Amino acid sequence: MSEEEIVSVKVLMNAIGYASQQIALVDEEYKNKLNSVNASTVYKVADDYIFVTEINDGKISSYEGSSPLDATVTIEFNDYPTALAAMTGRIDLNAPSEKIKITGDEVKMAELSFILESVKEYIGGMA
Amino acid sequence: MDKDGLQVKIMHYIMMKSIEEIAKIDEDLEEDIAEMKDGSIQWKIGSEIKGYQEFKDGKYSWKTDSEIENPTVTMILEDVAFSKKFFNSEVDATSAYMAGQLKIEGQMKYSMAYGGIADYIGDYLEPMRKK
Repeated sequence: MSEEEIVSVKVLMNAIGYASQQIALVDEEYKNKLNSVNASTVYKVADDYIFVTEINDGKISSYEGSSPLDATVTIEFNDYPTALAAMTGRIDLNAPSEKIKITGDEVKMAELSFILESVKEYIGGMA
Repeated sequence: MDKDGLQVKIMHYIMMKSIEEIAKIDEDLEEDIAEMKDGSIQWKIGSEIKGYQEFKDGKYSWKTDSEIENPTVTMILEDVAFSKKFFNSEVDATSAYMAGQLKIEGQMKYSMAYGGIADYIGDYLEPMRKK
């Protein structure tokens, strides 16, 4: 684990949070999907870093810090390289892995996948 | 805003956010920020993207979708397509300026000092770009 990987993960997660909000301003289909789901996704990296994305009443927000008690889905990465690989699409988040643990509402998680897929279209060139 | 514009907006966010995160972990950058004279850099990209970075009392802060009063330097990138290359590090600031694609208004010396701060970003975001 390098300092560069730590920075990259934190910047990328925040960028995904920002992008998630910005896409809603220009993409009606994406905005409609946000309106149809209320959920929170917690990303934990190496027991060191927590990033949360919440959708409530069609609005998406994100923050670092502590996870809400009632997280809809929690995705835990063993380490920063794994988190980076997953968030950049180099490994499939849903593929079985000893380094990624996903708990929570699987149905909701499938409903939320559109967010990361949409964001990747915009961040894809950078990561 | 079209897809290209939104992509550039996000890249701009990444640039400004990166300095904040790197400074938490890199003592050299933290020192360089502490030594920057008080001042601000306003970014204007295309017709819709704006944001600023501020160095004040040895600290760094930034804000998207905003304009600051009396910026020390204003960086203007009119062409969104070119801006993508710029924020993706495909072209450096000096080349962009010489080609007339990056316009700089205000204190040139301050923009050059800021360039030293921005230099940290490339290496730290390399893992994000590595295929």
